[in-house]
Amino acid sequence: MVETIIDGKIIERVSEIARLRLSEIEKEKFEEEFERILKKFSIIDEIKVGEKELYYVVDNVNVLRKDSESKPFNNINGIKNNFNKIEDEYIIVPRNL
Amino acid sequence: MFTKDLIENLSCGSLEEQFHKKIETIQKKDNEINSFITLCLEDAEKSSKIIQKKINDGSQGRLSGLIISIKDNIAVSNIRMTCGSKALENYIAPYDATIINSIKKEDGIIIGKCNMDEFACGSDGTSSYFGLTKNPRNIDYVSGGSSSGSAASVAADFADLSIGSDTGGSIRCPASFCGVYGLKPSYGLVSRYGVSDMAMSMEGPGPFAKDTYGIALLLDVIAGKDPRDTMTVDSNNSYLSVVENYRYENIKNMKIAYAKEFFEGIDEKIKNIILDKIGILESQGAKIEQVSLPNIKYVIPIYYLIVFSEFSSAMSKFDGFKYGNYIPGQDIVEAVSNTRESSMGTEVKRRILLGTFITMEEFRGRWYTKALKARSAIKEDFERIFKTHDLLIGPTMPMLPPKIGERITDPPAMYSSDILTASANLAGICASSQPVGEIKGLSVGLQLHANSLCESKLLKGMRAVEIACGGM
Repeated sequence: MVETIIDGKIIERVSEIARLRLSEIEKEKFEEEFERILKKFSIIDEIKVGEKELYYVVDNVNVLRKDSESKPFNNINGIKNNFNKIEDEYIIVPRNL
Repeated sequence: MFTKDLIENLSCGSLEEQFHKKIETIQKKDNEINSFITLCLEDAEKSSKIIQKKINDGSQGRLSGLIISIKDNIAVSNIRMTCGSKALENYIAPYDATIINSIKKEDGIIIGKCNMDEFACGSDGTSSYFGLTKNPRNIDYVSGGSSSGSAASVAADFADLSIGSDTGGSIRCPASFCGVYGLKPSYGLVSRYGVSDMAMSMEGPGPFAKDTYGIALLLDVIAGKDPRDTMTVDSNNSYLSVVENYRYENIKNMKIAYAKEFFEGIDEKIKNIILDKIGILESQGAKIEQVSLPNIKYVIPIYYLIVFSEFSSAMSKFDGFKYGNYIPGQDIVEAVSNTRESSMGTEVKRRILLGTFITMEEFRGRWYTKALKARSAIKEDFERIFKTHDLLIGPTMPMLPPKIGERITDPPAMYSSDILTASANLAGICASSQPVGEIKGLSVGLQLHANSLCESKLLKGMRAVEIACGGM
C-alpha cells in the first residue's frame, strides 16, 4: 500500500531541495511517473524486515589508518584550470545574501 | 587463448604496427559505432614507442603494450572525463585513478575514453549526451549499458581490453549484448579512487576482454588494497595463473547451482541456449543442482531505491562552480538550479528527484531504510547458496538487445531489464558474463556468480564454460 502521495506540491518541494529547476511539462511527467514507480516498488512491504539489521556492505567496522604526512598534490593547476570563474586564488560565485 | 597469443605476437612483432592497425580500424568504423568520446592517440603513440623499447630489452610490464579503452567515468590524468554528460563536457581530470596508475605501470596503452550512459544511468547505452553507442555485431541494435563504449570497443576490435564499471549490471549487460567477456569484481576488490561515484555501496570498476585469459590478466593488474579507498581488501591471488593452470578435468569438482527464478519470464531462445550449456557442463562432470532465490522479485525495487538515494547524494557536488558546465543566476540557488537543469538528461534528473524524495525525513523510513533492511534478505539468499555451491549459473540478460528506436522508455519497464544482474551488486559478490551463443546474429551472454572475493572460483567457472563452448 502506498501511503506516500505524490502531488504537484511535493514535486515542487523536491525540485527545490534538489536544486533542480523543472519545466511545467517535466513536473507533470515526473508526478505521474513517480506515483507509478513507487506503487510498483511498494512490493517490498511483503518482506518482513522488522528484526533485520541495516545492511552494511562489508563486515569490518571503522577502518582507521595511521596518521601520515600529507603528500603534496603535484597538479594544482590541473584543478584550477577547471574552475569556471576565477579571480586571483578564488572562485567567483554569485551572491548568497 | 586469444589474449595470450596476442601478447606473444606483440613481444616478437612490431607494437607500432599493431597500434596503427587499431587506429585505422577506429577511424574507419567508430564514426558509426560511437564507442569513444575522447581519443588520446598522441599519448598512446608516445607510450607505444616507450613500451616497444621495453619489449626489445625484455623489461615490459604484464600488459606489454595491449591497447586498453577506459569508461569515461574513470579519471585519466590530463584527459577529458565527461561521464557521458554535458555537465562535464569540458572537465579535464587532474589525476589518474588508482587503477589507471596500475595499468600504466604494467605497460597498457590507453587509447581513449569510452562512451557511456549519462552518469551510468541506463542499461542500453542510449542516454549519453554524446550520442548512443551502436552494437558492433549489428549496428541496428543497442550496445547495452551503461559501459556501452567499453564493450563495443572490445567487440569492434578497437581495443584489446577495456575497463568499465558495474553498479547493477553495467559491465555484464553490454558484455552480453556485444558478445564479449566482462567481470564485475566483488565489492572492495578493486579500488574506486578516481571513479566518479554513482551508487557508492554497490559500484566498482572491472575488466572487459575477448576471453577469460584477458579478464584474469587485467583483474590481476587492477585488484588489491588501495589506501585511498578504505573499502578495499588485499588480493594476493594470481588470477592469471588460476586460468592458466585450469585443466579440463577440474570441472569434475565443481558444484554449480542454477536458480529456477532466473529462467522465469525470459526469452525462450536465450533460456534454451543457457540450459544447453548447463547440460554440457553436467555431461563433462560438473555437479548441477537447482536452488531457489525466493527474493528475486524484490531485487529491482530494493536496488533502485538504494541507487536513487546514493545517486542523488553523489550528484549534489555538480554545482558548476568548481568545474563543469555553468549557467549563471541572480544568486547561488538560482545559478545551481539553472546549471543542473541545463546540463543533465531526463534519467539523471528522474533519479536525483526520486532519491531526494525517498530520503526526505518524512519518507525515509518508508522507503530508503526499508530498502536497506530488505537488502540483507538478498545477501542471505546468496550466502545460503554459496555454503553448498561454488557457482550460480544463469543468463545475463532476460532479453536480446533491443533494436535502436524500439527501446522501452517507460521507467518501470526500463528498470526491469536489470533483474538478473542487480542482485550481485546488492550482495557485494562477484559475477561475470561471457558469450555462449547467437540468435540471428545477436549475442547471448551466460552469467556466473561466485561468493564475495571468490574471483578464483568465478574464473575457473568462466574457463570451464569457455572450453564447453569450444574455446581454446
